[in-house]
Amino acid sequence: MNCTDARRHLDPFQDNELEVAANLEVLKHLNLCPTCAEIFETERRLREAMKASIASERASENLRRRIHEAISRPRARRWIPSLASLAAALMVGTIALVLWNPFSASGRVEAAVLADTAAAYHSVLPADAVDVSGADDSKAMVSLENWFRERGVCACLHDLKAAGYAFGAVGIVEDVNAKGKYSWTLQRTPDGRCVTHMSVPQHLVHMAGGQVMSIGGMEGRFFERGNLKVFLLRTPRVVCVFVTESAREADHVMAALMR
Amino acid sequence: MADRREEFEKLVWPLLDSLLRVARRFVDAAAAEDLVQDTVLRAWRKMDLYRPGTNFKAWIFRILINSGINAIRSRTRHPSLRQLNPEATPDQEARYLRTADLAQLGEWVGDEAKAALEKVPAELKQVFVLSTFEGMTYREISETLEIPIGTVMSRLFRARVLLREELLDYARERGFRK
Ligand SMILES: [Zn+2]
Ligand SMILES: [Zn+2]
Repeated sequence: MNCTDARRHLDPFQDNELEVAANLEVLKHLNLCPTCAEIFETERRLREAMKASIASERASENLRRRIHEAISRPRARRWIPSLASLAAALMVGTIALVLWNPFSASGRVEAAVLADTAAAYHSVLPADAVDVSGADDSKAMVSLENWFRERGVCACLHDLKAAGYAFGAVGIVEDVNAKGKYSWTLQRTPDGRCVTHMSVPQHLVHMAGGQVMSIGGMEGRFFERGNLKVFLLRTPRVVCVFVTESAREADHVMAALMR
Repeated sequence: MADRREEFEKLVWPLLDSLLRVARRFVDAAAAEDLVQDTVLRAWRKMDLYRPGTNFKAWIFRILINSGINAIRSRTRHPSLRQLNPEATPDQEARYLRTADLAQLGEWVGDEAKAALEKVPAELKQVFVLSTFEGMTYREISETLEIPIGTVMSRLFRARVLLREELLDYARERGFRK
């Protein structure tokens, strides 16, 4: 190993990420080469100094108390904890959309308003949303469809299995003018990334605004809501709204929808 | 409910200092506290989605970085940043700090380095902070940021080159390096 090779290994060596053999090679070089030995030693001391410089930064008692209080507050919305409860959950609370007047003069809901609504329901669950984790076989899908049908909701159950998501929860969002009930589903990956998917009868939606796009030949509209990326997709029956947590995630979901 | 909360707190409390330190590398002290509080609340609300037995630390840091730090980053403009010198090769001794430099920088070298870190682009800094300050392995960082290990390594390399160059510049400004 020469100096160039040794220095190329500087980072993984300091990070303890080298294989045993490579590690030995580096050590051997450091024993023979005072210049590299000095460079490596300086780097080590620099790292130690940096670590020491943040050692005094600690979460204050005040922060701990604030957090403890925030998570101790009872949640307004709750999850029914098992798939078995899907059948037993006879009542589904619906909540009114009072934050916005969702209907435009045309009597249809604006795409941008739907994007807002869906984004709001990404972090707050609809009242009495039902936990359906594990419901990914075809039998469960049928019961999900029935569940929405019994409640008079025209639901789209786009599943995002191709993108690694599984159903986590379902619920219903009812608009304030009671012109329609929207299906709401939350799908998630094993590592906790989430996509919210709402569907709204097509005739109720005014597809306008946002960035126009085409997904698999269907018209789409893309909106940014802070950190959330929301897109609407007009299918023959419903308009589907997807909320994702990053642009990359949105691409990922779109690709799965095209499959 | 109380049990779930206790369990959650048991996972979160030991990570609170770390979350704060990482947040602090991107925003000022008050904003960092807000960011951490927001992160923990999000994690608590999403706890149903956390799969026990998987890496909780990677999971909660992902929330901190994805929903907090990246959001802040998208709202603020990048400061003009030093371009990485394409000529930089590992064999140029001038590109490395030497013991004499450390001696000149003196006992505040850690603080100087911390300040220099502010000039490193966020994307590179995320990786650097998780590695050097949090002691995460390349694999853990790759899990946390959802990027390939090769990307972790190249970002770390670039972060460290930039950091060294900032410190060398500083040394030159002070006149003890040519
Ligand atoms: Zn050498
Ligand atoms: Zn759909």
